[in-house]
Amino acid sequence: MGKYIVKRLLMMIPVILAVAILIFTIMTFVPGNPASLILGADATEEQIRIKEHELGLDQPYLVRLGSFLKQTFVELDFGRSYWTNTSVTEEMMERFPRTLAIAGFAMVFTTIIGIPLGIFTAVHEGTFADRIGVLLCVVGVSMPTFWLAMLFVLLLSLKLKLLPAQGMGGVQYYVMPVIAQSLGGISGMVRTARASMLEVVRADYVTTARSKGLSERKVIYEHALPNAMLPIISVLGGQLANQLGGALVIEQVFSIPGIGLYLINAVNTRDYPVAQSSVVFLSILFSLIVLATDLCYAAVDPMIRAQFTQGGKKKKKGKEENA
Amino acid sequence: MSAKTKKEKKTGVNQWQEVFNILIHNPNAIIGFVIVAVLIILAIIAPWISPYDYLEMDLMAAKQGPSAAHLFGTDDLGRDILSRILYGGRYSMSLGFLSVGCGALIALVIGAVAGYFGGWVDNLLMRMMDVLSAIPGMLLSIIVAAALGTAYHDTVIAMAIGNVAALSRILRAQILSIREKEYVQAAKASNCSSFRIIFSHIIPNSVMPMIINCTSRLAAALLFCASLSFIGLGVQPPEPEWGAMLASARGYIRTYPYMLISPGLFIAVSVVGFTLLGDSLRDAMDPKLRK
Amino acid sequence: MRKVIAAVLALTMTASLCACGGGSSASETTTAAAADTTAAAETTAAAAADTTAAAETTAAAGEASGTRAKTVTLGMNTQISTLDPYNGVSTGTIYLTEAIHDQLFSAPALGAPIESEIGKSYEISEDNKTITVEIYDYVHDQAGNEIKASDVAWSYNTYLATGNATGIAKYLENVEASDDTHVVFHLKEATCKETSAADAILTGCVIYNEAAYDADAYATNPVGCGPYKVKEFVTGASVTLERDPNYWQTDESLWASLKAQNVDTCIFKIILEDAQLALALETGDVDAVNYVSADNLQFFMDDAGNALSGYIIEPFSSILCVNVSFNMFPDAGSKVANDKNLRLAIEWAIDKEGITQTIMGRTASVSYGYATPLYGDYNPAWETQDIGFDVEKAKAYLAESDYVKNGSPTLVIMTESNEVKTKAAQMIQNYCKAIGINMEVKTADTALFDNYKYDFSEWDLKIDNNGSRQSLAAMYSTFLSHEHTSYNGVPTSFNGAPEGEMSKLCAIANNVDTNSQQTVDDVFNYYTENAIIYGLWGSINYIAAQDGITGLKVQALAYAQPWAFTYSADYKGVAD
Repeated sequence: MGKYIVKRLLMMIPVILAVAILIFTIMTFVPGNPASLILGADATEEQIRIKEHELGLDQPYLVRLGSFLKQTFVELDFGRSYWTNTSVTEEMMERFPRTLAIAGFAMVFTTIIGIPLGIFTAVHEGTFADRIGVLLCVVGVSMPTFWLAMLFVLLLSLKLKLLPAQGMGGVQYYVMPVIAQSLGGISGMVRTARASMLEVVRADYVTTARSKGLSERKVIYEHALPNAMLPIISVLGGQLANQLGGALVIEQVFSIPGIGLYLINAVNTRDYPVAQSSVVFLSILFSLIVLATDLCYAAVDPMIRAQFTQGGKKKKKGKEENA
Repeated sequence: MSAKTKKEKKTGVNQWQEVFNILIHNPNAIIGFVIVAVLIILAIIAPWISPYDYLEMDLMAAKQGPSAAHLFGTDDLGRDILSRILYGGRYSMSLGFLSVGCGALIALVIGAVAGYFGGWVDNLLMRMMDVLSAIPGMLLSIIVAAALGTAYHDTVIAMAIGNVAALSRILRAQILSIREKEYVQAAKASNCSSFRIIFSHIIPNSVMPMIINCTSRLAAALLFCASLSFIGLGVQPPEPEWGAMLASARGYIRTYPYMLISPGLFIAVSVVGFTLLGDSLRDAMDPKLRK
Repeated sequence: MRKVIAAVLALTMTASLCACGGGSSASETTTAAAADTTAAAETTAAAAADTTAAAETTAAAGEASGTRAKTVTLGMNTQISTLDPYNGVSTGTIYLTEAIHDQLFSAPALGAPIESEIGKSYEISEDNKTITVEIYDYVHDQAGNEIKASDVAWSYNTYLATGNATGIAKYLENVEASDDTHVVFHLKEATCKETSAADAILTGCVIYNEAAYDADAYATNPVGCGPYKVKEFVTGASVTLERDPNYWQTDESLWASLKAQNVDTCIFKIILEDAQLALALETGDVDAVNYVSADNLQFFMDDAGNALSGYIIEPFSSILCVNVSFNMFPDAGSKVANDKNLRLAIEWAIDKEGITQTIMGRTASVSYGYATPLYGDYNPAWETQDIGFDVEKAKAYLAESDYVKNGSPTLVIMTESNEVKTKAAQMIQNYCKAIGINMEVKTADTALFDNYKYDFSEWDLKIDNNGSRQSLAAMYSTFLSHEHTSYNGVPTSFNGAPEGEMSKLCAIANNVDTNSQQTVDDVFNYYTENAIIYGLWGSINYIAAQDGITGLKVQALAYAQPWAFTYSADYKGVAD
């Protein structure tokens, strides 16, 4: 198992390197000149050229790419913001916990509410409660998160004046973003959990268990559930990734100075070091999440575990993209 | 899978017929279909049914709440919100279709080539997809959108890119299982060109999972398209895209909240439609879920 | 020498008619005492003369700080990314500059005479080529490090070396200390006669102690010479400043008008969204807000413009003029460059009063000419001379133009994708449509706009904003200078206009020897007659606060300076 983890980690390296090259290339070739943006309209062409030189933008693409890769992966330094000259690493470390807080709490709610609810609806398939639940979930996954967030702001913040809707501060500042962010996740999770439970409930071995005269409770919890958990776990990692991605937008709605606001602002202002580093950082994070999910998967499923220990090639089936 | 495999060669008509039969007995499918159909028709006939020109500003009537003259009210520049929403459907929904369509098309080529040829081609293409999927789709689209700009086709490209990696994986997996099937082997034996085999045998037989996936992706694409416009990176005013309408209504959330109700509602309803349709399609095509 | 200073002062004094008398008493050297605060206060009042509330409260600010409040929390709609101006000038940084830092001199308001901070006095040489500044001999920073003339010279040179000092780099050749208290600035030959050179240089750089400077730490925790120290910096969320009891300038009578210590702790809380910002003041999350959007004014003032009970609210004109410029580049495909009648038709077709009223409400005043009334060299007569809104005239000009002959092509109006400018573009599109001109709106985010605005094949009309911290003459000549950009290898101005009559007029207006109302009028007449650029509105910034605050104070760009607000005896801050 340890060997497998090491192997997977090693396989991550070229992928992350390629991501870094990709994002660097995109940022390099998009129109927009950071030097001119930083200096503003009053700058003369001469001043802009000097600034470009200072930022190293006048060097050839390959030279810059090389020094970017060296700095990021050899010196392990994300560099400094073009605009504020602050250390990107420090700033990210300050901002990331805020993003993580939103995504993390939303994830917790998604898991502890979504999975049981999904199993409940599956077990009670066809009942009134199931139908209502399914309907609500369809609506839940269909509402644009940012719209929901704005409706919350309208009600809780503007009309009832219960919660602050913008910026940073105590726990109360996180309530609305987390709720808005969770609802879609919970609905999605209920749907996934329900579907995989239903699939198991209809499987032969469950029928066999039933025919053996086991109590329905036993059938569900001892035979069906462990098997249904497998696909559920496999989407958990994807969910966390989704939640992190969604946090990028929700941060905009609530002006939370997390990594999303940082990144989008950096892309808009062509702050290359910030944009590149944030993307590299996030993709490392995502790759680790995918790895962790696969490991959980392995821990649950003996067949896959066997595959690992044999060192066999694991086939990805795009399960994390379960939209 | 066994039932499906037997039919695969004859495919086409029979399979679609069967799926259709299932769908027509599923109320969710009917509801989803009706919603989607109505929205699409509304978008198409928008020029004839819109009470006003969606660009026409009547400054005297700006920021009016819903009334008989303006069912959904008017926006901050005195434009009729209902007319803008009807036209907006053209933008929002076509963006959804086009972005998923383009993504699927690229994925189709990549997936087909990788799946059919295997070996180093497969390896190379799939490693490329690994890179693309290491950046979360949404993030990738946001960056590309910021880089390209806010024109309609730029938004389509940005959104399509986010779909490519996942779709091509699905297609490849499908093709891998088909590649070994007798009829493909037979075609190979009869010296058909690779190109011909890919396009006349493999792709037609592996699009099914793609279609299912794309339908549910459409729902996600509509949502994402709205988010992108909302954060200022998608289609922008004066184009009446629903997300962009929400973005410009945002400043009036306190004083004129009606402005952000209707565009949001239309996004939600259209996504419900596509979700229901996608769900039903998936259920209908998945033999394991058939009763 | 005398002529020079008199010219500079006369220019600034025109802003306030009543202050003119004092302006003529220009002495050889402008000393700190000469920059009396009443003149400054009047200038600010005159600047915002279109509103009644302004005069009385600004006067209140003139009173000596009576009670010192404990805390004030200001809601800000802008990010504060760095506190060290050397890292680049962002809006948030400018807000806090006067509190944390001291410069040699500062400009209390646009066009007002500059006031002494670290610099005691200055002298401009006869030939305008050097400026000599004498600094106080007891300056120290917040850590107690002495500031000598060598530190000043080092500060300027360091700032210049960052490449961020565009405002002063344009003028300065080099800076050196001649002894412990004297700094000599050498100006570039080409720019030494520009009207704004001296003011820009003397107010353009914050001063640090050379030995103590730490580029890394100063971004979030700078040790400046100003009256407030940084206590806490929470990235993206808030900045807390604390009064420095050991502020070097112990003689309060020598404080520039933006220097004050009326409160012990200043908290700047970032709330980016308009509605939330207003709500924060209402619900008592903050004591004051730096900005109230047009839509939210109703919560703090009635229709007549009076503050609602519990609040104080005041308008402050900002220097920014949102304008439409035509693409004048001769052969890049611009459809308006060679068709004066078409440009005139467009200008006459646009109802800028309607645009301003609809989009900005009370938070802007219509711009006449390409100017806002805030500037010293603004001529109120322009208000009647400027092109107005007349559909018939527009149609007549259109008929004379080649537009229809050329097949009524679709013109492109480009704008940054920010909300108000996008709206303005849509309204212009609509007005043009009304007389039969087809127009397409093209929006671009800030970075792309920055890229395309000098690509003269991309647009026919462009919405942008310009301003100068000195004078209209300076703004005009910057706008038409050919140093800022080039297209296809040809140096060109912001609107692609070739070197010609207008750049000549601008140069004359902006030269200390020839600057006069007449020469500035000449520029106005030229661009109006030829329909080259067209002002839409000048922004007015509303600042609101709870009524425990009795007087508001802003700096030259109309940014709130809460440490210089005045507080009533029973004031209680939300953070107290």
